[in-house]
Amino acid sequence: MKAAIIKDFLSCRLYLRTYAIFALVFMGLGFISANPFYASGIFMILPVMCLVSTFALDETSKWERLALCSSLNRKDLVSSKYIFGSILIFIGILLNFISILLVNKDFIDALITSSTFGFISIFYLCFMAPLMFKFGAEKSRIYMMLILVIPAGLILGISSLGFIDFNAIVTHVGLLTAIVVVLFIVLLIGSYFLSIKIVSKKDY
Amino acid sequence: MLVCENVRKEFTGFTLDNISINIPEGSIMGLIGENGAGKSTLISCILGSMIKTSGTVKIFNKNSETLTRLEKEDIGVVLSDFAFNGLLNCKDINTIMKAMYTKWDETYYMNFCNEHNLTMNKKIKDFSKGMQMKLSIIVALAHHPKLLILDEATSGLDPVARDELLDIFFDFVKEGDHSILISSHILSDLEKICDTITFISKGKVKFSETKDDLEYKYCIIKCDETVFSTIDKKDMIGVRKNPYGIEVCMLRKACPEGMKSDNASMEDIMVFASKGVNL
Repeated sequence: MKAAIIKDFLSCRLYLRTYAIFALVFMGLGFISANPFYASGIFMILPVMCLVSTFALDETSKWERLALCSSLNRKDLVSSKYIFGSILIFIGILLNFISILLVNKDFIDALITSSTFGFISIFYLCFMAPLMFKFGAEKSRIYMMLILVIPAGLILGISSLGFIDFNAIVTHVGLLTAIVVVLFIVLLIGSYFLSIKIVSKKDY
Repeated sequence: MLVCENVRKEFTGFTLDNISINIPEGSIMGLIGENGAGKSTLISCILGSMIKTSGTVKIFNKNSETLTRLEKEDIGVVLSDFAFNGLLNCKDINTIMKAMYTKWDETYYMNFCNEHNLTMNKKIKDFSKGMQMKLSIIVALAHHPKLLILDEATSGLDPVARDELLDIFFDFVKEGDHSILISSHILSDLEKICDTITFISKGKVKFSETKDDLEYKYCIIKCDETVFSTIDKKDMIGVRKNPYGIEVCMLRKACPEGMKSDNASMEDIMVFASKGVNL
């Protein structure tokens, strides 16, 4: 599994450098415009884009076929992608936290905001990974757009229709955080086992 | 070393139909067949990258599905596609393989790369197909496996490189407990190194014979329909009709008396076997 994770980092080297430049530029713009959340979207989306890139590279080179002939098994193929994605998301959260902290100097605000964006990245990982294992990176791009747009649209729609008072919900921060954390753990575990089920039946 | 018993894989429109092969220790088996015959499918089923419908594969006298990670390290594989993406270089591959195999021999890998002009920092996508294939082969050999499985490994290589690699394969098998399964369209390579040849056509094994048997067991005769009708189909490998008569590839011992026969090369046997025994 370690070999697969190393392979993903080495493959992504070029992309990571480009994304790092993007991130620095947005961080700088956020600092200049005193907007702490300027770069938050970037730190949320870049880990997922990197992960999609590694799936695409593996698909083109048919890496899985060689990997399964070696000491790696199907579970390792799945675990390595989730660990790689999680490492990138964690780095994204950290950089987002630093970026926000530099501007508004509020530790709690920086922590909550960077974690929230991190959770959104994990949300995408949970849905994207099984789709990419099932359909491949190219076919999954359409679903990626839907996963980006549908939840955002639903939240905006529900909010504007007034069915749920988000302001009231936000006052119960502690309870909300606990529910969200538990929900995402369940989502991540469910996504992982679904990916394993998909890969265990797939022919490479 | 490697035993397949009734390996079956079903697809829509194609079935790998109960393939059984046996590769003992210290031997090389060549796998030949026309395009789409099922050679790569069989290799994928052996290695576990495709899930077979039924049948068993035993490697090192153990069911392949129960091999431990350490035991799987004793299998070296070269596939027809170079399985590393083009953004990596030879140094990266060394780093990845060191993490994958406990028996990875970095010195052997580096020396081979240097000898064959595989520049360490050059991206894989900038290598020619032949150089990518050489790299695939060294990746398979550098963790010192006992079983080598090669799927079209010598295609894309120049004759000098192919000859060098065939020597490497010979040396590999000299250690009595090593074996090779090699699939190739280059029959001259297989004739040079293989002990046994297995011919697969349309998902079925047409024959699996030693090289010596193939050389002496079969012949080609040219006859008319009258003579053809007297030959038992069980003694035939295949027939081919042309404007001048019928060519039959068959067992030498069953050749009609007084009939002139020609030697059948491996290519002839393969071509005739793919045509079948019906006119």
